[in-house]
Order: sequence, then C-alpha cells, then structure tokens
Amino acid sequence: MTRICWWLVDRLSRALEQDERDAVLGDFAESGATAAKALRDVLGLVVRRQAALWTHWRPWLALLLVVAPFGILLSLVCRWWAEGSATTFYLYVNGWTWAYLQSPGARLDLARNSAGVFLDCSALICWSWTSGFVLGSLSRRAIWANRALFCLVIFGELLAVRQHHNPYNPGVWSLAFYSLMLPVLARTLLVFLPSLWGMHRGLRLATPPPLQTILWAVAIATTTGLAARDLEVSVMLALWPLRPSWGLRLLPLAAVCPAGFMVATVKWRHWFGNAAGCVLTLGIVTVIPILAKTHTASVPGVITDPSGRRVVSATVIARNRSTNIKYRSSSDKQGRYGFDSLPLGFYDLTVDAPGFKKAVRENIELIVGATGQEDFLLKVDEASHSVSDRSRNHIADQAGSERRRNR
Amino acid sequence: MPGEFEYLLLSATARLGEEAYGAAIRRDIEDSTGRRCSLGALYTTLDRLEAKGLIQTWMGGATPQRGGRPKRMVRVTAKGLRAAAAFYDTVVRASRGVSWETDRVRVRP
Repeated sequence: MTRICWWLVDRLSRALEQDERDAVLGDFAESGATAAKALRDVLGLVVRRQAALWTHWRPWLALLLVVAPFGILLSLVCRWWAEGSATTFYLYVNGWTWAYLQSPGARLDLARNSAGVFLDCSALICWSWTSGFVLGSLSRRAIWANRALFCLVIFGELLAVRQHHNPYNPGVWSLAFYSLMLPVLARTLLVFLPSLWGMHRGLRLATPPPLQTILWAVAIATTTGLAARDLEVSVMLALWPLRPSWGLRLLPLAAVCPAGFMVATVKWRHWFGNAAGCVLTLGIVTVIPILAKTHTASVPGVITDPSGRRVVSATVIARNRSTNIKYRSSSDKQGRYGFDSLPLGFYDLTVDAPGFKKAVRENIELIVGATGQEDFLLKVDEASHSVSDRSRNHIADQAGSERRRNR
Repeated sequence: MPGEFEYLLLSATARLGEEAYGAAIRRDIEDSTGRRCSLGALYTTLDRLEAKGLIQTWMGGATPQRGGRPKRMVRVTAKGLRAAAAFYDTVVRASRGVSWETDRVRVRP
C-alpha cells in the first residue's frame, strides 16, 4: 500500500513544474512524511495548481473546440465504423473459407474489404492523433484535466448511448466480441492511444514544424479522401433502418478540422509567408473531395419507350449487392437519370415507370472512376393498360347510369 | 495589505532568515499556530506573495537529507517587511480596547 501511495505521489507530482516538483519531493524526504500524508499534500497542491490554470482562456478553448466536439465526433465515428465493419469481420473471420481465395471476384472483394478497413483505421488514427496534438498544444499544463475529460467523453459515449444494432445479421450481434468488445477495442486502438500520443507530441511541440506538418496534412487529406466512401457506408449501415441525411453521412469528414488548425498555427513566416500557408490549407481542403470522388463511380443513363420517346419521372433504384443499400434517382424531362458518386461494387439497377414493365439489370460492376452509360428501353405493360382501360370503362359506365337515374 | 495566512508566512520567513525554505516555513507556521499548514496553501501563497513583490524565491542547493533535491529558498523583500508591519499595526490598532486585549494586559505581571 505504501509503495502504491509513493508511486501515486511520484505520478501526481509530474503535473507540477520541475522546480516545484523537486522542492516538494525534497520537503517530503526531509520531513520524513508518511506516504499517505505526502499523497494528500501533493494531491492538494496539484488540484490548486490545475485549478489556477483554468483562469486562463487556453484550456477553455481546448475544452470547447477539441474535447467536446472532437471527443464526441471521434467516439461516434468509431462506433459507426465498428458497427458497419462487424459484418465484414464476421464474414471473413468467423465464416472463413478458402473459397474466398479461389475465384478472382472473391479475391478482389477480399482485397477491397481489407483495403477499406485499413484506410478507415488509418483515417481514424490520423484524426485522433491530430486532435490529441491540438489538445496538447492548446492546453499546455492544463492537459491533465483536458486529457481526463477527453478520455471520459470517448469511453463515456459508449456507456451513455444505447447500442442499437441493425436487425440484419443477428448472428453477428449475438457474439459478445462484435457487440461489446469490438467497439471498446476500436475506441482504444484507433482513438484513445493515438490521441494520447498526439497530446504527448503537442505538449512538446507547441508549434508544429512546417515540413512535417505539410506531410502530415497531405497524409490526412489522402487517407480521409480514400476512406470517405467506406465511412459513409459504415454510417448508413450503423444507423439502419434510418436514412441519414447527407450531412450526417459526411459528418466523419469533420474530424479532419484539427489538421487545418495545425497547418494554420505553423510559423510559415520562416518559410514563405502566411498567405502561402493559407493557400496551402485551402489546397489541402480542396484535395479531399477530389480524392473522395476518385474512389467512386457514376452511372448516367437515358430511359426511352418503344417509340423512342423519353420517359419522364421514372424511378431508378441502384441496390448495392454487398451492403443492400439502395440509392434512388428519377428521370428528368429528357428521360435522363444519373447517380453521381456511388461507392464501388456490384449493383442491381431497377427502373420503374407507370404503364411500363419494370426493367431490371443485375450485377453491374462499378470500378474506380467508372462512368458507364446504362440506358433502358422500357416495354409497355399491356396488363396495366388493359386494367386501366377496363377501370376507365367501368367508371364511365357508372357515371352514365348515375346520369340516367338523375333524369 | 497581506491576508492572514500571507502574514503568517511573511512572519515565519522573516523569523527564519537565511534558513527560510518550504519545509522550514511550514514547520514554523505549524509550531506557532498549532494548526496544520497544507502544502498546497503554502506553495500557492508563496507564488502569490512573489507576484506581489513581497518575497523573493530561488532554488537553493541540493542536500543529502532531502534525497539530493534542492530547496525553494525564500526571502522577504523591503516591500514585504513594510506590508507585514502595516498588517501588524492594523491588527494592534483594531484590537485596542477590546476585551481580549484589555484582559490580557491586566493579567500580564
């Protein structure tokens, strides 16, 4: 017990400035203080010192700009990622079969899924490290309290928000690893540890060095751009059956903001002036959507009827075969429809228009940057025409008999 | 004008002279008042007094009985002496004619 108390005294005293720490530990040694008394004394001093730091604006700024928004955002993104990726992990870990390596299509799927998981993890680690760095450089000596609050937000969200797993794949959620351990593990490895490392660096380097910051910002922009679509799908899978808005689906990308803060705080004057720094920041921010775009494919097309006329307001649904997520579009006055940025994969396209037979085109593969035209020639639905004709005649008959009765 | 604890700290520092440092001041205050002096109160008050210019502190040499760690040495400045004297005068003036002061004078041999 005594050893634990002295260990705690040593750990706590590290929150003090070096000179004060030396003086305090020296006082304990000289006065022969007991471990319990030393622990009480050092705890009191650390609390007073930490409280005094909060009379300045910097810790509050760190709390309001980093701890609260990015702690919540990173833990939410981590939750969504764990929920969205659980099925993929289950498929390849619990349901592993060598058939996954036998056909070229299955191998391609495995490679894509592995790359997706790697990119998502990289993006989360980069975002967490950067948030930690900004937190460290803003908080300075108040990092103790802010670090504790950041960890509380990250892990507290896990307890505060009720888990709701999508109703599909109940076999996945029946396993404790996927329903309980994966979210905790993901939070620890992808958010908690990288952010601690970032805080440590942020404390040591108040202003980041220019070259390293540029490289880091480019790395973050690249991983964010490449992981954007996978994370968007994760959000949709995790929030199923809700249909999250675009804002919510792209929310994970907001985690890139601390990188902008890092770039903005570099002393560019030593390099090539503040204006160039701002241009660079803008450039990096512009690169993200471009990179996100190259990781998707678009599907345009024209819908016509047998006489060659364009079909207006036809509903087009693209269903992703692996995630079962449906994307909707409809044809305009020229019969044109289009999906701008679909995640890569295999899709079923369904076209539905009143008076025409439903047209289905299955297993269309979308590869990076593909813009393959998918035109549809709809056939007239005779059955619906005859039914509607019969209905029209029936209504006309009823109207006629009504008029006769009134006479 | 210093506060009560600040005055106690100034008095202990002045009394200890060249031997005034953290642990010694704490011991002195505890002996003279009979009350516990917390480490947090001691070091934060030292900082406050130094910011007011009433004391001056510096890191002294390391000694073996302190585990090779240095002392935080303290000295009262001229401004600190004036402030402590002003506090004392105020307390004496404010105490004139009150029962605990007159009773004390009467019992004095």
